[in-house]
Amino acid sequence: MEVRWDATVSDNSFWSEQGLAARPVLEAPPHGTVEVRVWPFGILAGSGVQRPIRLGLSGGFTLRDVLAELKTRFGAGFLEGMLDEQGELISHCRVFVDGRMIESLAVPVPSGAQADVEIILLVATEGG
Amino acid sequence: MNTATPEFAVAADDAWIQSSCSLCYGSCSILAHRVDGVVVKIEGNPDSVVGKGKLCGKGVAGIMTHYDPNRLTKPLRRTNPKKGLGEDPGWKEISWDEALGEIADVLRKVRQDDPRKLVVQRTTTVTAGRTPFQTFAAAFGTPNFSVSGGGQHCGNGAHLISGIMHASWSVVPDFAYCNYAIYFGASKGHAAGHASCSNMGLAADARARGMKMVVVDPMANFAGAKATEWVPLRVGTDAALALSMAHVIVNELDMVDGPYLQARTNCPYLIGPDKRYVRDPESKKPLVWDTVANAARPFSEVAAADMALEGEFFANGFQCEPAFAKLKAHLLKFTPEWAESISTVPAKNIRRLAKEFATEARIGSTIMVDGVTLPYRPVAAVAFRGNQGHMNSTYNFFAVDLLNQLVGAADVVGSCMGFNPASKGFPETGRPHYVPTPDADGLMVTGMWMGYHYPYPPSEPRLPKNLGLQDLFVMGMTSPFLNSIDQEELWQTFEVPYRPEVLMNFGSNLMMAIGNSEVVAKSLERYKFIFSFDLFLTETSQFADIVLPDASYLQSTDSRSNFPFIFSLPGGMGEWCWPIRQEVVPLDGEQRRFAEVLLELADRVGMRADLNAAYNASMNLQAPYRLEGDHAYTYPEICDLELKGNFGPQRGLEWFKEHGLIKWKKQPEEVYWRPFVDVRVPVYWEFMVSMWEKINAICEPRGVNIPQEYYDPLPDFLPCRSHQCQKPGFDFYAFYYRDTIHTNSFTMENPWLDEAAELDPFSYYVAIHAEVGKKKGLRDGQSVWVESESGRKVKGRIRLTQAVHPEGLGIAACAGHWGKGMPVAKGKGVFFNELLELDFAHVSPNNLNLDLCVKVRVTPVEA
Amino acid sequence: MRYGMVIDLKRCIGCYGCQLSCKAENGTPPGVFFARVLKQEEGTYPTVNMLFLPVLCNHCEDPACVDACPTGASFIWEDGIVDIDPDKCVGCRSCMMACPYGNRYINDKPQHYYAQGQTAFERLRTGRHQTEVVMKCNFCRDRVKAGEDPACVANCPTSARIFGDLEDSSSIVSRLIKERAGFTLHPEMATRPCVYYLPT
Repeated sequence: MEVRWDATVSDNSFWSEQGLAARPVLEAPPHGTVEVRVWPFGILAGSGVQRPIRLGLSGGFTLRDVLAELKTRFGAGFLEGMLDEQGELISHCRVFVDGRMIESLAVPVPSGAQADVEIILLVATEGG
Repeated sequence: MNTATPEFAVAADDAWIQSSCSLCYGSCSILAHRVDGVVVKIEGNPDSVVGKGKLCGKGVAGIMTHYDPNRLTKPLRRTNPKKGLGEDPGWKEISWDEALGEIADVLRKVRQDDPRKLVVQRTTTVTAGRTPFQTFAAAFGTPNFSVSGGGQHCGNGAHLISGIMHASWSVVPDFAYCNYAIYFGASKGHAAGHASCSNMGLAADARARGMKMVVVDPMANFAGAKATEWVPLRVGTDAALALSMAHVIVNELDMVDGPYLQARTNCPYLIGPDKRYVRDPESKKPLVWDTVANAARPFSEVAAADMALEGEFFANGFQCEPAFAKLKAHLLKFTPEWAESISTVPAKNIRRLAKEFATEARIGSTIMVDGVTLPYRPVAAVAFRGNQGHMNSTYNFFAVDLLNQLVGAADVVGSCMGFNPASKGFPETGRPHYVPTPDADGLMVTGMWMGYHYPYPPSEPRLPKNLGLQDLFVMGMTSPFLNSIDQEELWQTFEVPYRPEVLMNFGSNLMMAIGNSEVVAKSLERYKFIFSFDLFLTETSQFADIVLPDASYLQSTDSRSNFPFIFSLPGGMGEWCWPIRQEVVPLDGEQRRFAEVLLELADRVGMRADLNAAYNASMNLQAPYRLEGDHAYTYPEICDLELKGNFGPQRGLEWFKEHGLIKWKKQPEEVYWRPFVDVRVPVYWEFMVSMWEKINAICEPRGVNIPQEYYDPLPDFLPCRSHQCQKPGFDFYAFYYRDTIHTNSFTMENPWLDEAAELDPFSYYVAIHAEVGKKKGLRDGQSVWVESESGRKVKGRIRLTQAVHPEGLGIAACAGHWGKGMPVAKGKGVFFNELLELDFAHVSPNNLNLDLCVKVRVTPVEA
Repeated sequence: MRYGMVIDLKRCIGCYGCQLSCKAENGTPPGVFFARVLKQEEGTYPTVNMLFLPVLCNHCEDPACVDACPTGASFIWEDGIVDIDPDKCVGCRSCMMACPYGNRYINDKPQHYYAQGQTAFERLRTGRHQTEVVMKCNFCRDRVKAGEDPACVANCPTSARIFGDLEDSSSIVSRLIKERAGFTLHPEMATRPCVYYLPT
């Protein structure tokens, strides 16, 4: 009677394959200086900053480095609402790098002379 | 189709148009028959999975709502600056240009000052309103979004916990395979709510197949009427019954699904004396006891079969036990005899129901579906609104789901399941793609949600900056504090740095939707400016400065009329289905569609770039189907981009207007995803321990008491305020329930539905037990006052019945309109919500759900 | 050929879909229902059963209404459908009194649902009904002739209503009546109804 279903059901990789294909794979990090244009929207745009914020970053860098640079320039308050206590993106903060939605700060910002980073906080609550 | 009617044969215009219903949030797919420009029939669309070609009474009656001569056709401005109950606004017709000019001026100023001072509120009735209004709020920069009575009156507990435990907005039995379903205050399959018509068919098929249906409910109307066994109970005591059943299953019968608990829950995680996980010092992962190595090891390094569920161990310097052992000991106090004293359900019945449930679960069995061998647990314990509309909202729902978890009946064949939590997407594009994922502790994070903050992991409680205080009370999805009597006191206590000034309302009739009208009116009077998109002048639009005449659903287009799949697509095998809504008839007078008005407002406020970015995020639009810069897209253009992005360049809005919908086959690995995705659900809610500490650290110094028993990791029965009422003469527990022919307060204005409700023995009556009523000298049909302990009262007519618990008093729907703007609805039925207090003391200190039961006395209305 | 209907009380959940889809199909005026849902309580607490009972014209084989009609307006089609010819009806209501089921209604004067007057829908759909005549369900005969089910059958979300030929022993309706002990309402009136119910 006691059949272990985690033993009888084999993982047929149904989800793992698709999971990789569905997420955009971004190119390898670049070399040299990249002009990163940061576009804060919604409440993040409210602090009087001019859109876009232009950052010059060099070497292979990730989104985490972009946010660190923003923090240096505008203070920790600028990132409020974007990151959780562990310093990761909160679930209702959405970031697009060159038009592609990314899910982790570890994502490298792609190569080219210029990169666009768009950030917006969506509405957290809903009921019904 | 009524094509056969002879007089249509000669009509120049005779078209059947595929679209979506909007009489409730179920949004079933429809075919609207238009003849010479007039809608002559609305039928279900048999091509669609959403409703499966059928409609409830509300859906077919939608014609009358559309053609209601009381609908607004011109923007209105108030001339009487004084706002209040009974104040005549002195409406004056104005042009759209004037209306939007004034609104945009107000919005521009408040956005410059502090965008959080805007509160955006929408009705839950129109599912397609969710994205446009949420997106506007995000672009504007306000976190203050409200769904009026939604949440408070349907599911801070139900939706959040369905999300934590089943990665979906709600739960249903897997009707096609379930053999034994036990409903706790739920109506799934009985003409209400999510996937309503589809579920009606699926539930009927299940009953015909022989599924036993036990309905725990104070009243045997709707679901209770179809029950194999009706289990009446004292209002609000569901957790006592469910916990007692859990106790019997675990401690008396020992019939749990051990392998499931080991592999897919946190039951093996070791719990230390501080109620927290004992963690690996290096990896910080929760430890389990490896019975082969005889040592504590991180959960990710131990085979599930080797994880201890019971025993006392010493690990990492602590005496500890697996979470399951903690649960087992915790349940001991919930004996059936104790539960009888709380719920009135006889102890012998509790033991029998527990045994039936555990036996029918067929623990250990498997079944083949579409060639895939899957776990088979054909039992389901489901709950919804009635169960969790109480102070004890969280535990009332959690306790019921515990029954499923104990026997492994969670998202496997025949079991309790979430609506479509895992989608591999349309085969040609792989969109929309979402699947639950594990967090660092191995616990499940949902892949899709209605709001953009997911139900798990919870946020860190902080000194609140949101007006609803949900960022402090992080289990709360929606909040009563936008309208409560003590809101100012709470905002001062928690140093909320701003106050609301502007309310943008979409279709919600807040004055009736949440609690007593006196307190809600005061909250509305405080706004400096209110504007409202409405079909009719409601009791709430009477407080508005400007009212905008909205289009009806038969005059609107939307690319996501039923989105997302976790909300209202039927669960179980079958097909994925994405329908749209499209215009059947043109606008009347100066009516305009809300989604398009929002775009114009964004332009006038100068925030189109923000709105475009917000749409990209909320609709997950990816290149080349993104909105660029501050380009002024029309709403149909946005819909077109979303559809092409999801279904390919050849399937834009025009393709969908022709085809109505797209569908594709569900795979067993999607529907029964649980064995294929390595996530665990929390049977032991460890996160509640630190959550309480953090909330309490903010509340205690400010003199706000947060009872710790509401934050224990294991569910308990905690009484409502009504259970503690000792006032003589107040001997009924008043509750309300959803009526099959009404949606919120909205459909009361539909004369066909009103006529049906007038003829129904319960819709417009106050139901009490016949013998109890007679003892009090009350007659059937008699006019009475129903009065709360605090003196709030409503009038109604008595219906003496056998179908209600002797201590219960049942009122249907959200009735009792008093305004002139909806003349059909005026004076009909009983306004239950008038009895509800709106303050911190009547709210769950865990998830902010309002207590929806109230102790009342009944007295005859003097002639 | 004798058209009849089976209503499965086990499936019916009292959603009023039949009552309202009939209204939408036929545009019946206020107070006139070709299809209705009744609720009846049976038993005493806590063993109580709430019965949802959809009712409509029973299309009797020996209809009391047809016998009672003095003008020949009430008649039986060759397919068994009991109907009313409004051109012959004088609105005397004899049939209403004769019908043991109360499923006939008088359309005594022009009516509409809103105080402001007829809606566009009512002008097209309700306006075509003659006044000062008796009205009732005719199994949506126009639909049936076109090969479709009556509106209430086509719409029923729980598939509780099945329409078919009672004289064909292989039809679904005939088989259901036989296999599940279908019964009619008030058989003692000897009108031989063609609407059958399956027990809960």
